[in-house]
Amino acid sequence: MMGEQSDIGKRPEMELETYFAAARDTAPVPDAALLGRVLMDAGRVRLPWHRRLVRRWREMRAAMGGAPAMAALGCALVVGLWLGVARPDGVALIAANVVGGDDAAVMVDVMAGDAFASLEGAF
Amino acid sequence: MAQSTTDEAGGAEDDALLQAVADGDMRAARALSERHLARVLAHAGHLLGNAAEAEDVAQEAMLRLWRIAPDWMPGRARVSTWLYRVVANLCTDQLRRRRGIALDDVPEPADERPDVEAEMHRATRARALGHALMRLPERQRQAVVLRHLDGLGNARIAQIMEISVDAVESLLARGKRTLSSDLLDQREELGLHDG
Repeated sequence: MMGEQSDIGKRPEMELETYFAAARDTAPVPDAALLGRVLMDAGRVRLPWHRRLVRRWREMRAAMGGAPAMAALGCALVVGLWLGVARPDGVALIAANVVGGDDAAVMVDVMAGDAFASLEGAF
Repeated sequence: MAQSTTDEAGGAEDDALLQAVADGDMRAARALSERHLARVLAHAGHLLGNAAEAEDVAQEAMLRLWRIAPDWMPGRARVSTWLYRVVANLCTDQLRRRRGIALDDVPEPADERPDVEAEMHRATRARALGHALMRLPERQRQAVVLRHLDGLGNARIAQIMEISVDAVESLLARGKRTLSSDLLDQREELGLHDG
């Protein structure tokens, strides 16, 4: 008797559950168009300036080839700065030679006399 | 339900994705959409009983999420909890703009052959439940949908609705009592029988 009564009490609950199950099974599912609109909204949201800077930095980094490229660029930057600040001894010499300036600054003896003589058939 | 660990891990992941969205990462936006859009859409659909309006609400809820991303504080609230609240508020606004009971647009099956009878019954039940839900007071409807259609526990529902667990249980009991009497009375009309 008690078992039957508790069964009767449970029947509406169980029957209601069939309705819930039907509703869960037929719930709307997002299609590609909705997902597209949602993502477009994400792309259009105006970020604060510091966030925009981060976004620009990421886009630039990706365009330049990612982390390895940025590492190489970083090294080049460091070396360039060092050369400019520390001014090692040969730098002025090389700079003058490359940029042009004092033509007499660099004289390299390659035994020109013997070379000339060899061309003339002395050896 | 031993979901708390999974929930916490999911919550932390959502926080990280939302931070990435705030930095303009579109892959994070896609990942968050894939995690939440279906649930948001289904929840709005159950609260409104109208698929087109549910899509509008879902899109607006996600837009608000993108807007709040730069100000999101990790660990303070779960993204899913926040979304449920936003959807509920948007649905409330939508219902105020609308008069009468929303039409559920589960399509009528065109085919009445015996082998699709089960499908017809399922569609009929879903439609009937949709109408019955729309006749419930809003808070009861929200509690019933969160519990029986979204599958959340009472503690989570209490968080989302910002009420006590006792209040949730009371809303659920009243809501289900009304639904039972409403739906079971219609059984004959709907052509639905036990079994």
